[in-house]
Amino acid sequence: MIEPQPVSFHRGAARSLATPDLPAKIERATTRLVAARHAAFAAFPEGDALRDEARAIRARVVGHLDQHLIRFETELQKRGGHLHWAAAAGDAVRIVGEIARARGVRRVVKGKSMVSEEVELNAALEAAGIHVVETDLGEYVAQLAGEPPSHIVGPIIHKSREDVAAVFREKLGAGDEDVADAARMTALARRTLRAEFLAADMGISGANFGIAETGSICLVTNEGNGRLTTTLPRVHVALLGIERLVATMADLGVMLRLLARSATGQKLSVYSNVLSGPRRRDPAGSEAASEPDGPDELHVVLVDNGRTELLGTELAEILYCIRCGACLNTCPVFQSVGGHAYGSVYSGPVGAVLTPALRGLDAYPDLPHASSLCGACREICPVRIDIPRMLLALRARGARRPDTPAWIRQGLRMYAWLAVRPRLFAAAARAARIATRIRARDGWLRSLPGPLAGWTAHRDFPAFAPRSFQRLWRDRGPAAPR
Amino acid sequence: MTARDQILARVATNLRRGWGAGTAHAHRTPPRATPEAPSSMPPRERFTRELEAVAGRVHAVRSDADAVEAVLGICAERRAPCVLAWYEEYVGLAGLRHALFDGKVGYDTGWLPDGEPARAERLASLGRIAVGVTGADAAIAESGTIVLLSGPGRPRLASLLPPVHVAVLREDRLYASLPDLLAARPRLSDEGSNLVLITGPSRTADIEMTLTRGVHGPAEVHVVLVP
Repeated sequence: MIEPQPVSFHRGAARSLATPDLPAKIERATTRLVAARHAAFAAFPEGDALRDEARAIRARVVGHLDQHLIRFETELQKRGGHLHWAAAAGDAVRIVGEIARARGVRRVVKGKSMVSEEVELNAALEAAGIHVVETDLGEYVAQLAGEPPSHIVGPIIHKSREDVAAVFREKLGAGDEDVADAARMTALARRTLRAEFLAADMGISGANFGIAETGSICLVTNEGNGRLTTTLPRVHVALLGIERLVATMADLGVMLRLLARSATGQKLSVYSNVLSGPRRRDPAGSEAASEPDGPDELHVVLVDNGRTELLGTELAEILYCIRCGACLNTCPVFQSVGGHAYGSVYSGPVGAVLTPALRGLDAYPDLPHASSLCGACREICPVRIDIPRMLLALRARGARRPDTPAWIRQGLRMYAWLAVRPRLFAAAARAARIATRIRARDGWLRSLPGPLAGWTAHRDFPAFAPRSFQRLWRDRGPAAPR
Repeated sequence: MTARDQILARVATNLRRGWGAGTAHAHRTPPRATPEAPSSMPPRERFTRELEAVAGRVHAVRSDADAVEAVLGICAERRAPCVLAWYEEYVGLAGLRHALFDGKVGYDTGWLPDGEPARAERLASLGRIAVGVTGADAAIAESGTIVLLSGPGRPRLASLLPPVHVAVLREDRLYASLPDLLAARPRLSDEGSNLVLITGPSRTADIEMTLTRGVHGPAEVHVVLVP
């Protein structure tokens, strides 16, 4: 895929901050989700140990991914499913398009799929004259509004009730009664989408996990649109990131218990839907010995699109992610700017690693800087991914790029030189302390000179403390006896 | 070389670069040896409490005859002319079908024919049924979850399409937790093409985090708990 202009997080963030009410909406939603997550784990004493187990489960799969992929393929095919391998985004789009064309598909209902957003599937299908409808309520509203989702789990947390009402009025011709409150808007969406479900020839979904030992896929939803998408249409196509496997059903159980608690604070999501091949029929044709419903065809498209390049690198750990969205909710940067500022499908801390890792720093040069490195993402992650470590690794890569401004490279080199010379370092710190304390008012500097002005464009800079850490350390006297 | 072989070759080659599963420097808190907190509450009570906490309803009955009455009552309340149901043997209530017929309630077992427009027409008519009746292959006390397998005579749509879902659960199919269930029945997911864990009615909070039920699946989930 051709990447257009590099995406600037700084510009995106500035746009978000300047949008009236947006930061307040994002903060309200994320604060509630984080509170629900913490309450769920507080009532789940085995949660911490389970997170270690979940991490080990994901590490084993990613560390032996080829074996698990082959097992998954064999078992899926044994149960009558078809497996397709997509090396790049374009391949995934082509494969799905061919499945649709060969079966004369005109109408598609879609369950939530981040991978389908990643490969930009909808636009391609629509260009082929296929009617495509998102059926997750949030995704549906986003689609009607012509916007990408802004959060992995809550696609329209950037919209107020009034915003949604306006979209329904404009796009569905809804009257005042239909949009009076959230319940009525939901009912309207149910009616509209139920008709789409009943008329669709093909369902396209993502999947939260593939289970290698049975070749099954698992879809987790609260609304039930995932079940309708995978049950009503004759053909079901699921897109699955190549790394999203677990070895066994028992491992899936561990993941399900953590996923719902991390995402929304539920013990389990309403529907954990495990699919093992298409509708099963009696070879002799007996109705009484055949399943009465379900799709006649199940296709799973395994999407690589840059993931295998991360294996065996310092960024491999990001492939453990199970897309719960907790790191977005807890991140002070995401809470302030929301998902659209990141300019990519995957936002928040996980996106700040995953997007440049998959698409390259050329396209997303400043995303690894969309973090204060406070570590909240690492603390909350159900599989304990060390996101700050990888953000630093990406920043280091970025600093070595030829288009990094000379003053940054020089400045970093100078700092490195200084930092290993204690006397000089102390002297420089003393100078900075004096300078900042002279210029500060109430302990803060409103602006810094030269290239440092970028720091104070959006925030104040604290004056140095009157006594340095080295000084405090010396003055604290001999260590207390053990 | 096919895309499959290319991808698998890349995986194998790149995994050998060294970083990866075993060596990722994870920040971890030391595992705490917390034993699975043994819930003092009996599974039956725990299940009831958890399901009601997510707005499901439990009808605890004393006998099969009472269970049949409970199902009839739910249908009567909604004036349902027909139910979309599993075969009676899989619901596990002998006489249910007759009792419903006597109450002038039809019993549709949801077979989807092949070919259009027959299939689409059939779906449209199934979509008008107000109550779905199923059995439950298992249930999980700690989360108030019922577990349903698809199979011959066990349509998936019965627990999905109608706005009201009634599941008949035998108490001996109740497990304390999901890991307990998976340990006791390791091949569970392979017994049908669809295994679904259902925890309460369909819900969404996509609009301003306002909880709304019945967005796509049933708005009501009733579990008739039979000893």
